[in-house]
Amino acid sequence: MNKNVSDLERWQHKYGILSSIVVIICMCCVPLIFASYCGVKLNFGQLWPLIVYSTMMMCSFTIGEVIAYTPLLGPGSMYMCYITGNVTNQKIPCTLSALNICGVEKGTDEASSVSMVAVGVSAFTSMILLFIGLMAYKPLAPVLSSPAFTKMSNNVLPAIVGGLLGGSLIGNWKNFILPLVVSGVLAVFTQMQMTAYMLVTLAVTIVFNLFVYYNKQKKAVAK
Amino acid sequence: MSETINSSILWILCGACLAVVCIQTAIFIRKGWKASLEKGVDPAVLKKVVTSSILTTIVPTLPTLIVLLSLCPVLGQPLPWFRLSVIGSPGYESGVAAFTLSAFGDSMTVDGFGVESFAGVVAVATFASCIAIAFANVLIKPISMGFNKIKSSSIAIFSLVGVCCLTALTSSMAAEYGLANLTGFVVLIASMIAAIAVIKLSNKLKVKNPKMALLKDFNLPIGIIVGLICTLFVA
Repeated sequence: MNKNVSDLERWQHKYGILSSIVVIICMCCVPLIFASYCGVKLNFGQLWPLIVYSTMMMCSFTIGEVIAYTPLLGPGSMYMCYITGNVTNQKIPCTLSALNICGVEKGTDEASSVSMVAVGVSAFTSMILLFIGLMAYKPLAPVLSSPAFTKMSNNVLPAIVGGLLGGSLIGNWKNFILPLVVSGVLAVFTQMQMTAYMLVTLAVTIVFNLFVYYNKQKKAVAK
Repeated sequence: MSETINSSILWILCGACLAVVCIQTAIFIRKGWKASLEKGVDPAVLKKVVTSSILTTIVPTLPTLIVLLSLCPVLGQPLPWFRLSVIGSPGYESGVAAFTLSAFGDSMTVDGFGVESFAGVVAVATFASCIAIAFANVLIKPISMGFNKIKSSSIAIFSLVGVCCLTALTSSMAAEYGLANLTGFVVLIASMIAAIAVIKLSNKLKVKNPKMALLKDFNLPIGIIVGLICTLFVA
């Protein structure tokens, strides 16, 4: 393996891939054992187009997400994220908040290890809350179906993004002008999906910042 | 049908899978905790990370909980619990179940399908997730190595790419959820102002009382709650 890779990252890839394989095997056992227990034969001839369609639905976002999230979350958290899900609405906010609390630089081993703690705790919290919700199914149902609660749950994502943006803008607002304009224009005037215009925004922002960076370097050399 | 969708075998299978995911997550947390301490992160700061992560996760889990409770009467308790606790998302689970049942000629209503169709739903949702997890696993390592190459050739350019990823991601999310409708826009602005206000206020108050610096670490959960309260007045 590349000698620039730290021991922590080596462990993350090794354990991440190995544990994902174990989880995949366990998950595959669920339908197979359940079907044989019920005496039902799974007709894969009928199921495969549905499986392909469902996979396409999930994987269409994956490439863009892995490119944009890996430098922020680190590989260990990424392996966890793709098992436990809810990356955009739970794991990213938790990680960014954790990195701000620790004051560590993004993309470093410190950030990667803090991110593993944040993502793991977030995954546990979510699993525990869902379990509690399931146990309290009858008393909770009327509360959760109330109009006030429905209104709030329909707007959780703008509230999360607003909070994230607020925390990130302080001392960093100039860096947000170009990406906000590009993504805003693409969201309003095109039919592109978020993952697609996130990649375009990322590309435009990187090209622009590299241009500014190399121009500064040239000027410094000229002086 | 209610007995089949809530059968003990399904509870055991789903519970066992979730136990494996919990063990995997616990090992990641343990390693992350140890590595953070080795890198010089203060244990008190790590405890704040844990508190902040719990608080930040509670509110976004509520919509998932609502979907879970709405799916339970139709699909039973173990399957939605398992699927929504692992890779599945609220929108995806309902969609996959609905179109699989319709492919079998059944409908997604209470007792609107048979055992074979239900086994089909379990199979489609689970196998598709497994392929998606495998696909992500194939991508993570080469992309991570690519970033390492950039990092080893120039730390300055790597930091710049990191900042670009953060700004592009946050901006795209803001455009997607803030520009979708007026309520979303107002909620986004309200929670953004609340988060900024909490940070500024904490910076001012910590001069008089250093403990008030803690407030800053919870700007995100406070921002989310203020944004959601706004929803009640705007929506």
